[in-house]
Amino acid sequence: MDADLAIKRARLDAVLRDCGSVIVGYSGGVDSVLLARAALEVLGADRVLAVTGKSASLPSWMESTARDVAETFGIPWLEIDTDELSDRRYAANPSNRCYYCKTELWGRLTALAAERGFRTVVDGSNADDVGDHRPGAAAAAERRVRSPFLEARLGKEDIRSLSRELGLPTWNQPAAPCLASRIPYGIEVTSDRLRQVERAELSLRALGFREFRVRHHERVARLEIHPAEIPRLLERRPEVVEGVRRGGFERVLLDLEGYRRGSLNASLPPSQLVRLGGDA
Amino acid sequence: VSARRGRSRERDDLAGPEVRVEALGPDGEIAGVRVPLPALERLVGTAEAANLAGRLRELGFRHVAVDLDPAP
Repeated sequence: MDADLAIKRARLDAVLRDCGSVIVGYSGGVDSVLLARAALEVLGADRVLAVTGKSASLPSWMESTARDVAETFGIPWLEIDTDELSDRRYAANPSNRCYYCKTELWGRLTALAAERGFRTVVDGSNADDVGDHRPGAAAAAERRVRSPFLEARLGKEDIRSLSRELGLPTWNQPAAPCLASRIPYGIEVTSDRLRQVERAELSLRALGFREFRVRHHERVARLEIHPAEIPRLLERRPEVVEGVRRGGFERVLLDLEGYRRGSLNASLPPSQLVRLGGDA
Repeated sequence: VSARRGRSRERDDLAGPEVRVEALGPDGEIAGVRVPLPALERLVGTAEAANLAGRLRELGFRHVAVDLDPAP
C-alpha cells in the first residue's frame, strides 16, 4: 500500500473508532462493502451490523453480492424490507426522489440502531460525491448518519484501491445506483417499471456487459453503454434486442452518446440540484 | 422545436431515403434514428455519431439514439 493510501486508511480507521459501534447502510456496492469490511476490522464483529434495505429498486444481483460478501468475510448482516414505493412523494418521482427513499432507509436503520444498542449509523458517501446532485444526503443529515469516507477524505479510487488490497470482489464493480434512477423524473416509479428495467439489465449482464444503463421511456428502452463495449454490442445485437424486449419493452435504442454517469440529472435546472457539500 | 422539423431536416442531412428520425418517448424527448444495418454498424461509436447527436440535440431532443432494429 502506498504512503498516501495508508494515511487515508488510518484516517478512516480513526473515524470508525470514533463511531464506537456501527450499523452500515449496506447495498452491496463497492463503497458500502468496503465500509462494512473496514468497520469489521476496526471495531470487531460485536460492534458492526451491515444492513441491506431490500425493495423493488434494489437490483437482485446487488442483494446477492451483499449476502455473498457478508458470508465470505464474516460481516454480521441483516436484510430488512423497505417500502419507499408506498410513499406517494417518492413514487411521483420528483428530482429529490432520493430524499424520500433515504428518509425511509435511515429512519428504519436509526430505529434499529437504537433498539440494538449501536451508537452510529454510517453510509458510504465519499469525497468524489461532493458536488453531485444528492438529495438523499439531507435525509442522512437529519438522522445524524455519518459518512466515514467523506470525513476521512477518501474518493472512489481510494475505495477501489483499498478494496483490492483487502481482496474484496467488488473492487472493480461498476457504480450501481438504484433501479429507479433509470426512470425519468416526473414519470411514476412503479414496481412494474422497475421489474422491466431489472429484467432488461439482467439480460445484458448475462451477455457479459458491465457498464450500462437501460433507461425507461415507456415502451422504449434507451441503452446507455460504455464506449468500450459497443463493438461487442453490435456483434450480439440480435440477442441484446431480444433480451431487452423480453424485459417488457417494444423498441430498443442505443444512445449515441454512450453511458454517462449522472445523465438523468443533466436535464435538471440548477434550481433543482441539491449538491452534496451544501451549495445548491 | 417540433419533432417533425427535426425529422425532415435530418433526413435531408443524412444518407438518403432509408434514414428515418422519429420522436420517441412519452414527451417525444428521444430522436430515434433508424438506418439499415450496414449504416448502423458504420455509425455507432464514431465521431459521426457524436456529430449527429449534437445536431439533433440542437433541434431540441434531449436524447439521440439509434434503433437496434435496423431499417429493412
